[in-house]
Amino acid sequence: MDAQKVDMYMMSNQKYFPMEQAIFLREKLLALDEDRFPLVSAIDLKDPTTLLIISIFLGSLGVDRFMVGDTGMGILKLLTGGLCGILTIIDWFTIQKKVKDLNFQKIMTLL
Amino acid sequence: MAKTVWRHIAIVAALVALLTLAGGCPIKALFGVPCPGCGLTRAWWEAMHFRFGEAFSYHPLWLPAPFLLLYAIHLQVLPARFQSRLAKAVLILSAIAYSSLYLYRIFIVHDPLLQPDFSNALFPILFDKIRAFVYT
Repeated sequence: MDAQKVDMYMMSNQKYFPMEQAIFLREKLLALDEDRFPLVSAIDLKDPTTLLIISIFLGSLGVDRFMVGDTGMGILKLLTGGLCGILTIIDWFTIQKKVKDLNFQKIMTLL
Repeated sequence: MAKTVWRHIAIVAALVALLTLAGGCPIKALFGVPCPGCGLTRAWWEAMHFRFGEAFSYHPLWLPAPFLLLYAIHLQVLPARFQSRLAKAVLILSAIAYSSLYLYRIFIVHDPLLQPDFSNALFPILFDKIRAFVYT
């Protein structure tokens, strides 16, 4: 993919991915075939800020875990109110990183 | 490295504040409404003494809950056949069942165990203050 397209993609989608992987991701995108770009732009990425808000308000019902695909832990949070609040609070602080890692995993299946 | 340490300190401080200042159920202290698992321990206590009527009155779905929880916690270390799509479907169905029961208990039958009490809880009080501030 040509550098300008990659830079535009990185600029608009930077918040979805972990910062440490930004350079690695950019290199992978540069090495990608042009005709695979529609696939890359079409994948469904979760917004870390949205999920942070969901985690704060609905976190004790496990909704944030269900949305990052962690069904088992979601049930645990649902049935115990986030382990009586403990896991609820921990997830407030760790959910954004989890979402970014999930997005990174998703895009790496294409690259 | 330092950022991680600060994050840990923040989490522990929040937890300590919550668990010491709340006294009783932390979820009730935060949100004013208890969680969907409210009454599970009391239900099992009654069930262990063979008082099944009272058990169901404390939590109608008391029986599958601990097994479901153990399954959910250990899911990733179980043999592959426990992680199939069927297994996922079971988990999702239980999520739906317990959530529906939760809403049913709060809104339809007004279970006394799950009645909202917004006068002592952190988030409702914060919202009230914000609302008063915004609308003056």
